[in-house]
Amino acid sequence: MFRGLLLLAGFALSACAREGAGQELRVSAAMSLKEALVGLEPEFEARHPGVDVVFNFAGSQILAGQIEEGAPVDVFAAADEPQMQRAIASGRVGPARRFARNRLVLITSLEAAGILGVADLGRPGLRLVLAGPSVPVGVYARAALQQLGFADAALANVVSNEENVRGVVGKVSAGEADAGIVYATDVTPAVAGKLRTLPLAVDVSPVYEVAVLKDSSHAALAEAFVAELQGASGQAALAKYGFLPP
Amino acid sequence: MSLRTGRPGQAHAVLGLLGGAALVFFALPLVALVGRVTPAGLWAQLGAPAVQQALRLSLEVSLISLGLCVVFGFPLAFVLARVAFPGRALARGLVSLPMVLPPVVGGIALLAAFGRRGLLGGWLEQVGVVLPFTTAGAVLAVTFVAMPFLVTTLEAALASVDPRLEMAAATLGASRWRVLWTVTLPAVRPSLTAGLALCWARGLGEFGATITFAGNLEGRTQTMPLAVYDALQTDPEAAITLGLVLLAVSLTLLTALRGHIGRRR
Amino acid sequence: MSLEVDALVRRGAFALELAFSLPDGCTAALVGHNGSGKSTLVDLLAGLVPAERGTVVLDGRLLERAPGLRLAPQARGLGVVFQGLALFPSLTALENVAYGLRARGVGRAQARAEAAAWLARFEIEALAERRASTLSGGQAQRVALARAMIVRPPLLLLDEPLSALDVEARAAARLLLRGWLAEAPGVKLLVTHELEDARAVADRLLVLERGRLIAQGPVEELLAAPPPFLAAMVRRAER
Repeated sequence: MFRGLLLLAGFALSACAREGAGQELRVSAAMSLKEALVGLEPEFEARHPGVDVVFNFAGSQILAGQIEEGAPVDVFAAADEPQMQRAIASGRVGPARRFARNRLVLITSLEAAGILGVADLGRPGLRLVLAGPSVPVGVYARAALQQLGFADAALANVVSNEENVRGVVGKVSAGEADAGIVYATDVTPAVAGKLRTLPLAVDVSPVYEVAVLKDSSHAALAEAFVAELQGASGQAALAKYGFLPP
Repeated sequence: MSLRTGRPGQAHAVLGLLGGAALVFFALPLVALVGRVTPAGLWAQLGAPAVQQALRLSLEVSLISLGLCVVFGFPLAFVLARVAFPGRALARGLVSLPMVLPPVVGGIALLAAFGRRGLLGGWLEQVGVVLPFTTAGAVLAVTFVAMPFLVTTLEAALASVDPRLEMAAATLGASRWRVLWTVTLPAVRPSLTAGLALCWARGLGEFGATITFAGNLEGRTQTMPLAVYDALQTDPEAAITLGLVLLAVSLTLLTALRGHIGRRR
Repeated sequence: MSLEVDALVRRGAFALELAFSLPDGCTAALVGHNGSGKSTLVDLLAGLVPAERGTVVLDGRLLERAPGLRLAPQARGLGVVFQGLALFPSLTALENVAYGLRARGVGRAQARAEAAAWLARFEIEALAERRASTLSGGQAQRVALARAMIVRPPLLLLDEPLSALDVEARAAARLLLRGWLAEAPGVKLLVTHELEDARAVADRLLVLERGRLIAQGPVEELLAAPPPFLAAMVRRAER
């Protein structure tokens, strides 16, 4: 039995060692960038053979927190300035570069046919889901509501603060919530048929920034990734998924 | 006989070493946590209205849930232990399921049953009962994951009560209810206490099912674990403090009750 | 006649079939080997196992008429001292003894007072506040007996009441038991595999073998001129 345990331990260790065989580029990116970056991955890997891009998608506020705690990451792409600034304040992140913009939309569940615009969000009993007040899209959404003059009425109807934008999409498409505010890019083909989308005429401009971690062990590769994002092919990919140029 | 070979106490040394390592494994994260917090910081956090709200909500939700677990869990344990009905093995499996299910999956399952488009949810909404995004929903989620701990502990105890005790009580003229109250319950008291402790502790720390089914809103569904997770996204230091508060409450609970359990009659 | 039994009881492959009656005030001993059906008879009388056919009548009251009528144990008003005693471990000696009274609706103070009196009668009043689980075999036996007798049952069943005692204590216990049972009203049925218990305590003897009554009658008569099976038992006891 003892020998069996030793063998098992050996296997585990060798599996860990095998990881370092090829090069791994770790990218922490805002949840809303998921489809676009995953779409971009094959091209980048084709251009850099032997490289495996590993993504870590979550709300930007979570990713910034992880970087503060020392997470081993090479590139950080955030959905707003405050979270990028937070990461920079940790001392581990280099200068930030803008690479995309987005738009906000109002989504409603299929059953909530009566919601025609932001004004309706104040209706008593309506179930509104937003991302939390520290999540970029949550910040943008609240700013939008403020701008349109419906903040008090609408915020009274918030039933949950989700930790990332997909949580909002999920709740609305499942019909649990009546409405939510997300990015235009979050209405992917996969969910488009499960909810209704309404434009938001606001002057709120979600801005995406990317930066390289100073202590990255693949600095050159990281820079190459950033260049890809800002370059022609990257921008084309982002545009394909609904993002606006920076 | 190999008892004579080898240094005396060698077995004890090995056991002690491994056991000690395990203890350190448990103690280290807690000690590290305590080390990151200052008494002033702790006090400030405890005074914050958001924290007090989360604490109060956690206690409210976990206690109501505990009540439900007892009211429904004890009869269930009784039936499973004493009544041989067809499909009992399956029933036992069902009851144990929430213990092995990832809590988030539990939350999803609850949505499938009680959500707006769920099996019962639509009908419930028509009669004015809405569960997702409400405190009641949080209670439901907590009860779902915590009750099995009480039921399985009780079931084992109820099955092993000496039947002659209950027979003696019956021949002395005690009604079924009196037998239950004066003989059966006292006989399973240690297991009941253990089960309650586990059930409450599990309920207090419940996160996945709550956030999935009930959502995350201060004062309504944001219990302590959710508040900690929330704080983690913006202010890790606050998160640590909150986590410590939750830990302290749970530790006090478990220690106090474990002392009770250990006592043999 | 106070207790009349005429019944057939099946327990798996085992069948107990007998008919007997015992007068009011009598102390009877039921003897037999292990497996002869003694415990089954106790369970039948207590209402813990149903008869397939037959009747059990106590004091003119129908306790059971198989298969339609069967009174639950709590409705029969018996006193039972189980093998193994079955004292409630978390209750004190006093609370154990008072249990039957409390179950019948007697007030707490009165029940405790009566129970204390009975403990005194059995000379164990000092044990009143001791938890039942901490009592010795002999002490527990007296508590169990007091618990069963306090409700003045028309039928008192004792299943191997002296089995927890060693040989020496047993002799003294027999005499005490005889005295206590003589004072008790109603029918007393003592189940034992020790013939000496029967001889010392009872006035009637019932002999059970493989689910059948093979002898019944006054103790002295039967033991003076025992039928073959009983004779073998007597010889073994005297060895």
